[in-house]
Amino acid sequence: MRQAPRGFLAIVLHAHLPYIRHPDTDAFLESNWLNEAITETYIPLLDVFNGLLDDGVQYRITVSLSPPLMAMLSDPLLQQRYIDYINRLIELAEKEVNRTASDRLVHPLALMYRDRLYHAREVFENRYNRNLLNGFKCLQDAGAVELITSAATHGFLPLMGGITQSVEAQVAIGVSSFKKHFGPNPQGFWLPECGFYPGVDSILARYGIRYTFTDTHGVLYASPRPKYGVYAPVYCRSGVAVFGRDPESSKQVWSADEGYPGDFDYRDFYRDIGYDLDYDYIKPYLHQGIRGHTGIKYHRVTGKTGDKEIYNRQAALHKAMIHAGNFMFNRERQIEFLASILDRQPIVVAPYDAELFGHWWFEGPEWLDNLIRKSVYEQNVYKLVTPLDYLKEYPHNQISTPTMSSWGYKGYCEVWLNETNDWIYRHLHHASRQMVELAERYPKADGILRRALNQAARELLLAQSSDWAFIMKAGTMVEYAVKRTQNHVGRFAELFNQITQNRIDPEYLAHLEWKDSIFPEIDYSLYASNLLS
Amino acid sequence: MEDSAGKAGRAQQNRIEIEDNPSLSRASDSQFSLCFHASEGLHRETASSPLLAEFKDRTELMSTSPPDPPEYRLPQRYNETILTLMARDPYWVYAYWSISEHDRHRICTDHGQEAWRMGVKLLRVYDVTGSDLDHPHSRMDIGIGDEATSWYINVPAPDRTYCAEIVIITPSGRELVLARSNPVSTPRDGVSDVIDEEWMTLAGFDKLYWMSAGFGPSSPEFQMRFESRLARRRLLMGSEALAMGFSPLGQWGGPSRQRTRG
Repeated sequence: MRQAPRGFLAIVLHAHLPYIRHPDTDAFLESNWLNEAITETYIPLLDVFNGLLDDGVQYRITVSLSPPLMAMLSDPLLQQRYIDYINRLIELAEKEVNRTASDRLVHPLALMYRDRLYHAREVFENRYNRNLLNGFKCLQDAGAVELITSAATHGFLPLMGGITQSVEAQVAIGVSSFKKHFGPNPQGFWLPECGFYPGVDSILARYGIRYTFTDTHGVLYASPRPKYGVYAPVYCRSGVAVFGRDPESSKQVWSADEGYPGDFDYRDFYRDIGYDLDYDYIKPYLHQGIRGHTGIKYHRVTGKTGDKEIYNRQAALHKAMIHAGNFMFNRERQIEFLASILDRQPIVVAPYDAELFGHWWFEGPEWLDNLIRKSVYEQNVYKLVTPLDYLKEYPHNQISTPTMSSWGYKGYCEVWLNETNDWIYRHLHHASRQMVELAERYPKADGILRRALNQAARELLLAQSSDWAFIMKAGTMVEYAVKRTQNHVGRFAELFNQITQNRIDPEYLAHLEWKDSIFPEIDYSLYASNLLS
Repeated sequence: MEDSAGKAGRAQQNRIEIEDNPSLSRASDSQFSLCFHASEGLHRETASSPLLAEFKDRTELMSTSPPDPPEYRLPQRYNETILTLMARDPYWVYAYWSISEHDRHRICTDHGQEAWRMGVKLLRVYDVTGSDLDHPHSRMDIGIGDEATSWYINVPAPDRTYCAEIVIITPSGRELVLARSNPVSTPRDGVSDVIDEEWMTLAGFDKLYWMSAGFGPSSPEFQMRFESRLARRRLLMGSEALAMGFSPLGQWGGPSRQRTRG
């Protein structure tokens, strides 16, 4: 019989993309983010998880899916656009197989990409019926993956200006989106960007959420002082458990200097045939004919040099296995050490952005596959669990209030509040207060008024997406983020005026319902403050 | 509903009425701001603008006319009196504000025509931790001039609760409070001193703490590295404060109670 583990490892993947759906045009380059993530991240991760199940590996992992991502993955228009996208890419991949036929090093890679694309199209169409949520649901039903939700449009909750209804709506719709797609009430909630503030837990608790996460210092700086640091959760007074991120395991994967993804054998993200090949040849496969990523990349990181060598798939996969072994070894030592100074089994919580795996770090899914297999079969020090598994094992935890925090640069709100993006909050808060006013002025509305109120709520929610502020700070695609913020706030303002002046324009409303169609079941009365206890 | 729509309609036609009626609902704010300062108003492209005209032509050809312009423009600020604080991190609080046309006019009506233009505008920040505005621990005044509508405030300590006011000192020396903010609490930037008896810290807490801080279990240097990282962060923030033109009036002193509601 296996001896009891000394502790636990909880791997958490947070999958999110901003809601980008322009029914009138596919001219926006940003629309490709979803297509790329489907091919490079979501399908490879589903492949890994299903492969583990097929091999009878008993594993547990937590996956958070943001409501905008759920909405996009289940959207027939975007599904069809994915098919169109991958068909074009397959055409290019076939051409590449021919073009590289005499190149001993590159040809196997061209074949690899072609096969991967055919595989992606095949499972997308036939295994998941175009809706990848079906794949995640099966894994949940099989007991391997614990799915959790996030805020409605990934709004950064600490900066909602203290307008509780805005936070409440983000949480409520996050929970209802999850139930719509997966059935049961979610037990866990991923706070967008790990953005926690004292009090947000009470709102989570009202919606049946049992646990959430913060960055390391969120829990470490909790008050009273947490006895176990981040190696056990704390309970907020509301009863919601908060797990803090382990910095060691995070650094091994994330760190620009020491992290695995920068290894010289791994595939280079930046060198792409979209930039490298003859323009006339590649042009039909570029978005709007502008040079950019196609996803077909033949080089490896090589080193801190512009002179990149050809990727060697076998060497890279071997390295992924070595890195998985290294990660496991480090967790074993870490957990042994922690177990020696704690009076209970420690839990190490390792959360990552899902899109790191496959999209940025091409070998990330294989690394994860290796890590899970090795963790299950090659060591006895720790066991893979989900936060809920841990809470069943240790229902008694310290009561303490984590501090406001995020996992952004410097650990608080600066990424989403600085000179590049601070101008948005005046508008977001103004619209939020107006939304509350609408919900209170027009309770129990029906007909076109109800539709207008619901659409106003959609526009507000879309404006609140943390991605816009993040993009403004990051400095690429800024124009798109600014425009999205302006347009959603502007549409909200127009709807507010039409509603309060009793002149709702049915065509305008129908146009917005068609254009910004997220959350078809939304109920604007969520914003009425008298709902709050 | 008809009532509010009617009110908004009148508001559009008659600006005197707006000035005289401070109880106007926010519903009319945007029209209101259009009347007073078109450059700042919340307006989509007006019908005369070439952009929208072009758009309309195009959509009319399509025989539908969704009046959703390709781009919306947002106002610099709204015609409302408001002051909002947001905690950015343990040492910085962001404030944005606006003073409604009505309140500006009222100051001139009550305190002389030059009262608004010549008055000294201050952002007054109170430390109200565990207390309230009537019993603040300390306060700081920041001169905000006439143009600013937002400010990054370098606050002295983490884990405190702050509240602020927009204050104008009229040429005759009266202090008027124009707007009052929500309270905000800055986050902690270190381990709490509060220890729970039931969950007494273990003997190895220091090791646990430094490991949690990301320095692994065995490095003898964690503490030094961690402290210098904090020091660097503070230094950075200090220089940022200078760059932000931190108000020379900004001093933390005892509470002064000469306050008049404007």
